[in-house]
Amino acid sequence: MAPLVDRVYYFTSLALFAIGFHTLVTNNNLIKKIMGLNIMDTAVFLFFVATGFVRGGRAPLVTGPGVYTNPLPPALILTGIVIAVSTTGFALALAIRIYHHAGTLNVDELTRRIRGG
Amino acid sequence: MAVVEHLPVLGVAGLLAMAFVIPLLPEGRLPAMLALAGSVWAALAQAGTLFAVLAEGTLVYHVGSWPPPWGIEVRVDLLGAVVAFVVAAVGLFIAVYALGSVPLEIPGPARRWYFCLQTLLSAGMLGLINSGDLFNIFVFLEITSLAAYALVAVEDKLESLEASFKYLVLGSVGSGLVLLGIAMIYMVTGHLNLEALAGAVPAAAEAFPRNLTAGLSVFVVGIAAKSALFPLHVWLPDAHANAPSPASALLSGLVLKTSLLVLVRVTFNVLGPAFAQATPLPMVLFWLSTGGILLGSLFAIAQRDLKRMLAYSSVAQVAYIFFGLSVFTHNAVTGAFLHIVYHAMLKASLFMAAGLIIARTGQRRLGALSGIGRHMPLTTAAFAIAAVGMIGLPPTGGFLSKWYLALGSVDAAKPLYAFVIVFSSLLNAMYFLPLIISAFFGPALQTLAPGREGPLTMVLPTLLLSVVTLLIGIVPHFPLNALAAAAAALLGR
Repeated sequence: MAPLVDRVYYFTSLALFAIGFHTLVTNNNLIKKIMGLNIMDTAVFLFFVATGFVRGGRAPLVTGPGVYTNPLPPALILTGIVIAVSTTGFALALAIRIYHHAGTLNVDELTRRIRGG
Repeated sequence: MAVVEHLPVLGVAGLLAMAFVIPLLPEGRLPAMLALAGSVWAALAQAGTLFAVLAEGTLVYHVGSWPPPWGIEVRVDLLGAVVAFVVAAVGLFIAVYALGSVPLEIPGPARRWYFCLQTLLSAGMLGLINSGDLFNIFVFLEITSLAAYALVAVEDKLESLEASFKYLVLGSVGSGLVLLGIAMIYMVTGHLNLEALAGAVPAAAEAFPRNLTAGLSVFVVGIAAKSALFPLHVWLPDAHANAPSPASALLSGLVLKTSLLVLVRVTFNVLGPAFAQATPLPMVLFWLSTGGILLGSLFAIAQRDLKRMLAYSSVAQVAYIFFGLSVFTHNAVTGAFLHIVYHAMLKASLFMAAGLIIARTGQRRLGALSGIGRHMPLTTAAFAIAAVGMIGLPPTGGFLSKWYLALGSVDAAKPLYAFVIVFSSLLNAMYFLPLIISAFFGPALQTLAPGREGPLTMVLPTLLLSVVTLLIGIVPHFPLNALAAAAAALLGR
């Protein structure tokens, strides 16, 4: 059991990634696709942050006893989150414009409107 | 040296600042002029960098004087300097073209957003190429991608919005995978700086070979989605065909190449050719790129729309570059680097010529182009020069890059690879040659009012870019020698 418990964050991240990808691929609704995309991004962020985690480690202050966790991954992921937020914002703006033009958020409906004329 | 070493950072910083200012300007000529000034600025900065790198070797710069483990390193090697210069120079041609083309294609209020995004896109691409740090490369890749998604949607038509959404979904999956790959490489090496990574990889490959292989594989899938490697190319034809013409030229000519450069950084600079060759990567890339080369060309033959045909041709041409990177011989890698440079110039001039034809005739159908050469001799000539280069006939640059790819395949004792290249050139000829012949010699189907071919700002850069492409195909010493040296340096590590 121990190896499984030690790597619980990695397994969670894998599960989240699969859930996000499944949502992205199987849903026809643009908003749900954006949600799936967000869950996938979260999975990657969790994975990256988990690489810097040390069990029993403390906050990375220079003075103080014992081992400390790696401060770099959380700092990087902060940037990653900002990127994900702006991508999501832009995707939602696109969805609004698409709804404005077509009156639907359903992908099949959209494809029919564009190809079918 | 004092000023020169700041140039790569100054170029990108200047572009970022201008991209911020442009939306604040009033509508009119001002945003266009500032965007043009930004492109001139970037081209000058990259030209200076290129001269410095050619004279003194790799340029290393620590932003804010903080050395690598803490600070951000800018690292311009020979490959980076040449590609960055080509990106900035082709970007300048496109920026001049956009002065004439944007008022014709994009409705009033959206125009300054076009110029803002064009500047932001250049900043992202140049920052990515000049960066010496894996996470910075990721950030600039995302700046480039977001600007690219928005450029597709800038016209606010339903088709382009839908194309942009499709591009965004696949691009975001791609960037998620790229970040996952970076995380997997980071967790076993503890570095993000390219040089430090290269030093740490041999020990990590000894202790954790599976982590690195897993990291490389997710990374390659991510890049394949971003660079439209078959079968992840589905977003490309819609996005590139529905974008405004100068944006199509930027996306097809330059953006695809910059994400390929990230692949070069990881397989060659970080992991090293020895490690990458031991993984299944060469075989996977070979089959996917062969599929892309053949099916991309076949789809292009089947198209009836000018810009869609050019977009499918990009699927095939990008696959050539993946193909060259899958064969780890000096000639093949040189050929791949050459194809990055030549395809950037050729595809940009093709899309620029296509934009002119569409603006003048209002027609996108290939059948309507018969006899167009009599109405628009200069544009059609530019199109023909670039198309001949795309087919790969000597003495154009396109011949040279395919020649090196074929030579590299023979060096690797894989004649099947060389056959794929020769066969695909025939396929390219099948969709470009009939078009050129009917444009010049076919019966004129349209009666166009006599007049100019288009604004001078559109005709001149299109013609000039195709002539330059022809010239550096005939006298190839500048890109060839530098890129051959870059390939030797990357393979030697």
